[in-house]
Amino acid sequence: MSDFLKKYSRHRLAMAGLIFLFLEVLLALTIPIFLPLDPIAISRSFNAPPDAEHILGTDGVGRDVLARVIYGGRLSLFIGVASVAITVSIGLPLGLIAGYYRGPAESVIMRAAETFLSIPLMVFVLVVVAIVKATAWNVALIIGGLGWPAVAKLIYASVLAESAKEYVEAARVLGRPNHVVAWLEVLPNAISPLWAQIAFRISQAIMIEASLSFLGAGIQPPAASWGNIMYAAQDLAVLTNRLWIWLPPGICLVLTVMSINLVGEGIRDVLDPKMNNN
Amino acid sequence: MDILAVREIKKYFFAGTGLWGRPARAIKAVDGVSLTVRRGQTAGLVGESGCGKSTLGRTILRLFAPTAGRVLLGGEDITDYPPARLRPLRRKMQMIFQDPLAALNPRLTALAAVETPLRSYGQGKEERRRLAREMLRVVGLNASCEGKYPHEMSGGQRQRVVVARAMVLEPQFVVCDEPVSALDVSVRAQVLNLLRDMGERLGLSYLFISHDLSVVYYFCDWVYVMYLGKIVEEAAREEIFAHPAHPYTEALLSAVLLPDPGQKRVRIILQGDLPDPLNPPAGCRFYSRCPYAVPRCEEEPPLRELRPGHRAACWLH
Repeated sequence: MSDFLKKYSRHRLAMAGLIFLFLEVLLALTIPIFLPLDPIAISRSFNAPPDAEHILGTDGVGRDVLARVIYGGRLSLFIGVASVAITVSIGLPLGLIAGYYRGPAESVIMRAAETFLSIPLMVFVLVVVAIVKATAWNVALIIGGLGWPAVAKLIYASVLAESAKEYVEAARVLGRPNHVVAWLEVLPNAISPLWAQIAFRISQAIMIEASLSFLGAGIQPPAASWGNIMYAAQDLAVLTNRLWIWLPPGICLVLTVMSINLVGEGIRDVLDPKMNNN
Repeated sequence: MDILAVREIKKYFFAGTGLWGRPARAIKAVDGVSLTVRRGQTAGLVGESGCGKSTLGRTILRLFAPTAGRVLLGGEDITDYPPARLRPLRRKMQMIFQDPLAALNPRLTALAAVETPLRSYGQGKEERRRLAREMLRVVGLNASCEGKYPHEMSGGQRQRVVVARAMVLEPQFVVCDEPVSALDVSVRAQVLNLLRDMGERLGLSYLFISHDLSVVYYFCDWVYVMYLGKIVEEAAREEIFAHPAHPYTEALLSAVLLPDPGQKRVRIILQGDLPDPLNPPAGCRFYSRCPYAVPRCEEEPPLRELRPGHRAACWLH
């Protein structure tokens, strides 16, 4: 483990990404303790530029932009992490089963994965959100539930390659039960491509939520998300004259997605044995 | 009493099912092999690459389900045992692999590799560690190796770990699949001696798969020669090395390097490669490459007893 950290810390961009994410999570969780921020409270001034009372100004209905960006960040990160947790908890076991046990399970799972992959994500999400209420949980469930085929295919390919190795046969000869061989012998050796995929998927989920909210179909005001704060920028007057409303969530979004991707790349490089020539 | 008896075992692999469920073509990797391993003895299984000897070893250990035939371990017919019933018996039958680097989980240290198999057989953690440490000493690895991962060890050390891992279960029967062919010549003898010592210590019986006849001569009591999925000759070691009956055995023996380079000998060089197992020749399978082929060889020769204990499948005898 310390070996891992040592190698990772040599990766400067990935380290910067990790520090940024750490600070962001820390701020999202702790700022409300120190500052009396309320993302839905309406003040007397609206569309006001930054001043001492509202550090990032207020939006069109008089809500504090800083408070909304921070609470919006909590929500974006929640959706990113929760949807990937769902994706992995569906995709990983299915990929492992298909790749290790093969047989009928393999064809059923892989055909299902291909079917799911042919669903246009954005259109599907828009339809579902039109039917059920677009709460953070629902959005995470939809994004996560549709994302599993990519993870399943990744794990499947990796498990398939790993299962052909002799140590898997050896484990069976040594009398280890089949499911133990699958989860404890094969999976740990097959899982490394997943870490980069997880990072990539978190950033993608955050983007999808933002796009959805920007289109007005995601998280509904007064709840704040980065996407629905930027929704205001669809108004040309806001876009050109009130940068303080949409620029902060936009910058946060870009930096967060970039950081997560950098962390993913860093982890991938560290786990790749070919990069491990210290 | 035989520790292992294999009766007319077959293992066919099917090369892809047709799109409309057309019957697939069978690769007859093992096509009706019978062999026995006596308790405390070592049987050698010899043949060139692709003749099915590894498949046979794996089918005996039920890593593959046999297409037909029976496998008896210590008199118990284990052919149709489901995996759950087979697992407790796996302790009794172990395997030493050809390439120890591939056969070891890259994430397990030497100690963990030897300790892990014991988990399936219900000892406490302390007891397992103690047994594993002890076994590593027995195979000649000192304490400094315990924490090493496979890629940090030498080929000989890795193979010792593989041996320790099999022996810690106190098996009765061990399949050695080319156990030294991936090792440096300098450590082969050490590993062979280790296997022999372990065999004597635990009263083991081995099925020793190899293409190297000098190793087989050194190690085995009884020799089976396999060609294209079938046994073509079997006899006691001295008998088969002194009086090979089958032309294929003769050709294999002529390829053994002699310790004295000045010694002259007739070298039989076989023409061509092993025939396509999807499409084996009719009649005697060795017909296409046999230097003594006669018209009668278009008919398949049975495995017949020439002298007591010496059997060969050839019309010449």
